[in-house]
Amino acid sequence: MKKLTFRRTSDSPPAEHEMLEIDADGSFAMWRSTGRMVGRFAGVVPDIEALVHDADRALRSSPAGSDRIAMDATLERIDVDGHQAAIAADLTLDGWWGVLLKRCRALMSELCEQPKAAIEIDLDNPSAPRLVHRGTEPLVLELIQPAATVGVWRDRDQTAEYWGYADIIETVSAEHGWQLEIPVPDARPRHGDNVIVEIALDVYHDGVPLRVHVSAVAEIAAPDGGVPPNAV
Amino acid sequence: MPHLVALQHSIGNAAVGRLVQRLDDPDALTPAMAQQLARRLKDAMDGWGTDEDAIYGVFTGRTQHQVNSIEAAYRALFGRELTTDLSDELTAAELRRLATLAPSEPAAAPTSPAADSAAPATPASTASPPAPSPAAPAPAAAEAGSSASPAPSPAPSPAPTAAAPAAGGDVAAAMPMTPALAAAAERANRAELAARRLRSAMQGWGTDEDAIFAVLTGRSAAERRAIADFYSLTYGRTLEFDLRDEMSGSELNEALRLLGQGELSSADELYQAITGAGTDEARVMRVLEGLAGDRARIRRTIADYRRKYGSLLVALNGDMSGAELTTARNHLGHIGHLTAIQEVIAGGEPDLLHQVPDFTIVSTADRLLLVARVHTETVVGDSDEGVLERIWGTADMAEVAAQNQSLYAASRDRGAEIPATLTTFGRFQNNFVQDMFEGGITAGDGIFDWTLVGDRLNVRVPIRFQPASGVTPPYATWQTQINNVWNQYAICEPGGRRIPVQFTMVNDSSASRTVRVVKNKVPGTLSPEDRANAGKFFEVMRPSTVPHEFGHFIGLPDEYQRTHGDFVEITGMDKTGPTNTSGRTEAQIADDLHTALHHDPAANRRIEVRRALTAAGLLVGGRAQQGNFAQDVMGEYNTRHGTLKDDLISQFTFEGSTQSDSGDRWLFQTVFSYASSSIMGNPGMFAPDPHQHPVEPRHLREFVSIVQQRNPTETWSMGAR
Ligand SMILES: [Zn+2]
Repeated sequence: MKKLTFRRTSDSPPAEHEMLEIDADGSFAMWRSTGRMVGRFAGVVPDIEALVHDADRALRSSPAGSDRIAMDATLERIDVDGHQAAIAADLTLDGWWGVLLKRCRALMSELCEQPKAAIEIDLDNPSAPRLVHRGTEPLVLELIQPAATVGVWRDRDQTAEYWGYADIIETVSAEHGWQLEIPVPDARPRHGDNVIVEIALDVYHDGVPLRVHVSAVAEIAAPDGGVPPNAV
Repeated sequence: MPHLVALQHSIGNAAVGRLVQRLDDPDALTPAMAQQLARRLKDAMDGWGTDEDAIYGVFTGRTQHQVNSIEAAYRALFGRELTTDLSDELTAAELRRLATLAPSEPAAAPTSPAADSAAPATPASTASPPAPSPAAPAPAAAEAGSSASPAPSPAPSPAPTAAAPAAGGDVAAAMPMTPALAAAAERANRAELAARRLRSAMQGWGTDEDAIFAVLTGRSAAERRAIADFYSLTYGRTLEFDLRDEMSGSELNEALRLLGQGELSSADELYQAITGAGTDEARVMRVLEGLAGDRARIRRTIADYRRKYGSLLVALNGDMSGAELTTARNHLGHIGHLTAIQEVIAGGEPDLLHQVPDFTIVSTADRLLLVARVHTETVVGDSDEGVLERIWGTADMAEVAAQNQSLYAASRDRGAEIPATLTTFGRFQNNFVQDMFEGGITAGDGIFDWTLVGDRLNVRVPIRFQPASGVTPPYATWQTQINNVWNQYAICEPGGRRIPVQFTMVNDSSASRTVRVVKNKVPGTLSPEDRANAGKFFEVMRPSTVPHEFGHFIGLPDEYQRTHGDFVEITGMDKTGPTNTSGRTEAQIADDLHTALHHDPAANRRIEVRRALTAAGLLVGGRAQQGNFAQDVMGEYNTRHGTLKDDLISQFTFEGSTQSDSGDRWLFQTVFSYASSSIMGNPGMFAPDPHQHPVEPRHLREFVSIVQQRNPTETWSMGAR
């Protein structure tokens, strides 16, 4: 294996176009457009030998899967040196490509621990979620009255949904330490509620504005709220 | 006779004349009798040789009236003169003998000396030339068959008891005769002749059945009594006993029917024709043709047959087939078809239905019973399929079929070529594929069953849900969500009729479409990672997710990230977007775009493309400007350089791609795509456009057309409930 690319694509809103590129030496670059942390990621893949091993075995077997998937599903594709396998994101593959696929899926989540220029939501206070910069490099954000939706869930039911926005219109270059609070004053979840916060905004990536959806989930652990949530 | 005068006024002289004659002559032949006798004569003369004994049997002991009737019937049936035919077939001696058998002058002026039927007169004394031959040879002296027949016909019977006034002719002649008495005496003379002929037919080698039938046919009740009385008094055995002794099977049946009735009823004739050695198809057809069109007689015949022999229709089915059977059944017409249906409902063989051309003669409830009966056949053949097709095929069965869809489906399963979809119910099936913007294909199937009965359109959408272990799918919640979006509409016409459309998603283990149901990442809570699709649901989803996927289940494609053509086709609406103020034509912009997409080195292509799009005004502040302008540019590109969309994918090659390529391509493609914010365009991740309804008329087009097809005279469209 010289180079592995793993992509997730979905046209279904919020559209996913996420990509992970890994070189044989273990260095990686990743772009995430949805999830708890979005933006650019880079670093080194742990246990690259195992990944290369799996990829080489996959290369010696027949490509598998299908790029025909269910409506609204997400398509995943692995490309190893020009050899590809494709499958819907909620299905599994047999054989060595299946093993490789499983590893790539896990990496796309694990490698979020190595942000380069990314943002996530800090949900200390559900009525004032904060966008926070992560990583070492700046990320240009287009902030046109960025809005947060706070969903409150209990016993499989959404009991409330709140909405608030920060009244700013500007393009900022978020760097280390940058954060933006988005007030959602009505959001007062109770102990035991699950809270989900979602924020959509445009992130400039090499000058191209891309829609990203960042989200956070927390369980309100103490009766009076405000206690550090268990971010998922 | 005031009655008669009145009758003459109303029905005419000729008819009254016939009536009077019939009233006056108790031994007059019924038309059926005359016809049967004429046929016996024809049979006796047809074919190889002539059956003289049968001919004698016909004429033996007939009155002149009877002979006249036979002659007339013969002429009517065969268009020939009986006299001529007899003269051709019989020798002079035979003709002379014939002349001795029937008296020329019947009851009118009793010439017989006999006052009692038991007292045999000398047949010769009353014999005159038989009427059929006006120019017949002169009456010979009484020979009364003594030479030809082994029976001692001229000899008086021993008359063992003779308690009756068996006096000689002179005594009788001396008695003053009432007309009734005179008639009885004359009848007794004729009965004696007939009885003797029967006796002779039964004696000797074998039995001459045709002669027996000929004698017994066409005797009135009084005549039959007289014949039987004479026979038993003379020979010491009852006539019936001897008939039973000499004959068996269908021949005995025929003889006994004649003895009991004087004629064969249509049922009897049919039975004889069917039961005798081999079916006498010609005879069956002849009887049936005679019945054709006369519902009362057909009804009587079928009932008579059933009483005596069982089912006529079963008998016909057993002995005939193909076109012949069809013809036979057609003669029985409406009554025959009704009978067949009744017999099948009562448990008879469904084969009886093969000849029934139209089942609307019975209620729809009865028709359903027939369908069920046909389904019980172990082998449902072509003819059975035809029955099912004719039953289901009438317009009035459309609603019935809708209310009995499993029965209807069973008929189809058994091979009946009936449409899967009527105007009252049906199954919709389609499939659709959508190219994903970055390659790949999403594919969906629309499948639903609909029923349109009583101004209500019910749509059932079957899904085989496959819950993961520990997952209980919240079906009721999902249905409520569907109700909130989809069950808000009716199909309406300007006159005010409204047909509500009711959608139901049904968990059906036999459904071909499956949806897995899995736990949420955070159980009980919808996380953003819980991305449902048409093949996978979560226990908890957004309220708009099931309604969106439900739209796919009823055959609707997505309305996001579509090409302009798709978008217009799907949504029926257009987006105008900005106009071209760039100072360059769409064709020039397309060329610019083409150059940019093929820029070398490849790494700079995205910058070149962005620059071209920005210069054209299709990217403003980095944002895609969808609309007609963009579409016109794409149209020019496609005309001049191949497919733009393909180039957008291929020119940012996968292997050499970088993360930003992906983002760029997405942006560029967005310029040339469209989306609606209906339930099919935006599954509700973010607030929908308040100006657009989640369900638009285009989404209910299929259902409007279902209603339109059923009610073609009105113009239907989607409206509120
Ligand atoms: Zn969809």
